[in-house]
Amino acid sequence: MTRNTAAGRDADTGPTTARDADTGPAVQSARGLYAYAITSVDDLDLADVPTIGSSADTPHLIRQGDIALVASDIALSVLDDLTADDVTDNSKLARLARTHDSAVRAVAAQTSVLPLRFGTVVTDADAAIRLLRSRHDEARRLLSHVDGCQEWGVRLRVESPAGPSPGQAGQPGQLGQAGQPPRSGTAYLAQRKKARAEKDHLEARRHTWIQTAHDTLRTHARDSAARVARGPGVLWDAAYLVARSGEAEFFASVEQLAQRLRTDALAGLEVETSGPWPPYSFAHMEGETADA
Amino acid sequence: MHDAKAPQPTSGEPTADQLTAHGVASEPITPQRASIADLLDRVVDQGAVVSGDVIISLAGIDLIRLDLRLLLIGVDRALHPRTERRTA
Repeated sequence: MTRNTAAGRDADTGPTTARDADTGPAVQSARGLYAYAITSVDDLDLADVPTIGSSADTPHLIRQGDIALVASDIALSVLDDLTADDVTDNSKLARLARTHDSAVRAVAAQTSVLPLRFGTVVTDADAAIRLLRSRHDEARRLLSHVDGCQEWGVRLRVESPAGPSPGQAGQPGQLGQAGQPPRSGTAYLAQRKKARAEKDHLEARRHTWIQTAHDTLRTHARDSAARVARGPGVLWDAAYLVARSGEAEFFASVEQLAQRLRTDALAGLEVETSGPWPPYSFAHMEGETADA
Repeated sequence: MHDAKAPQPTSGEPTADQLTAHGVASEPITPQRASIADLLDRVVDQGAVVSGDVIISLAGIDLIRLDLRLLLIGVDRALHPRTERRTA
């Protein structure tokens, strides 16, 4: 859906997004149900679950058969003014995202959950129930897939971003040692060839480590998901869905991996973990697209 | 995400068997405080999507969803300036 389409639709239907909130006065009072997660119906205690909205509007369950939506009433203006210009710990986006995460975690501590992406709002309880009906089978399947599991993030990172990296090796300026410029074109070419071979070797070595890490860790996980590797020196990023009962083995694997990596100074990689997370990376619904 | 066939470890490098050897003492992972990047990467970029953007009517369901795609691009740029995006 393009922005133009969306804007046209907004004009027709009245309620609108926070992004367009300043285009119509009616929006200021528009309300909706902010949805945090789909969950199994259980005896849940939601009294202390954080809320995106005002403190009076605590999250509650909207049940449909054997699944439920965890949602809280919000004024849509709460989601107003979200900007990516400021992503520090105290930015509005960060605070809301943290609240969303805390709410999902509070529920995940009690039963299995499918976290919904930040910013999911349905119009009212009837819409929530229609949503649960339409997604029932897939939600059940995913809920049983993640049942008893938590998500752990694992990254391989080049130890020092200033150290040798595939992108830096092979630069002509780094080929000769200081004070020892190549004496001839032949020597230059030989040096260049050698540098390229070293770079290829380093890349292959690191790729082997990545493969080894994944092959090892996934044996202790119910599922895994590739993540975009980004950030300084990050070569590989993945998420593992690990049963709570299998976490000891998973941790042991990670620790062994870390120890082995320390013995390979040439590769210069270190392992980094994050978690536990609710199963954010394992809640993708089939056929989900931005234009669904 | 990975080739079916792992590259052959070269001499001196570990094999998966070595890594999974049992009996090596280990400590549990110490949960690190989630960085804001990790948090947003998951909360904003992952999680089940049950609707399209903005307001949609999907099979009679009226859903409102923020158009977060532009926001996401901005977050990515702000968190990872000058970082080359690579997939695993």
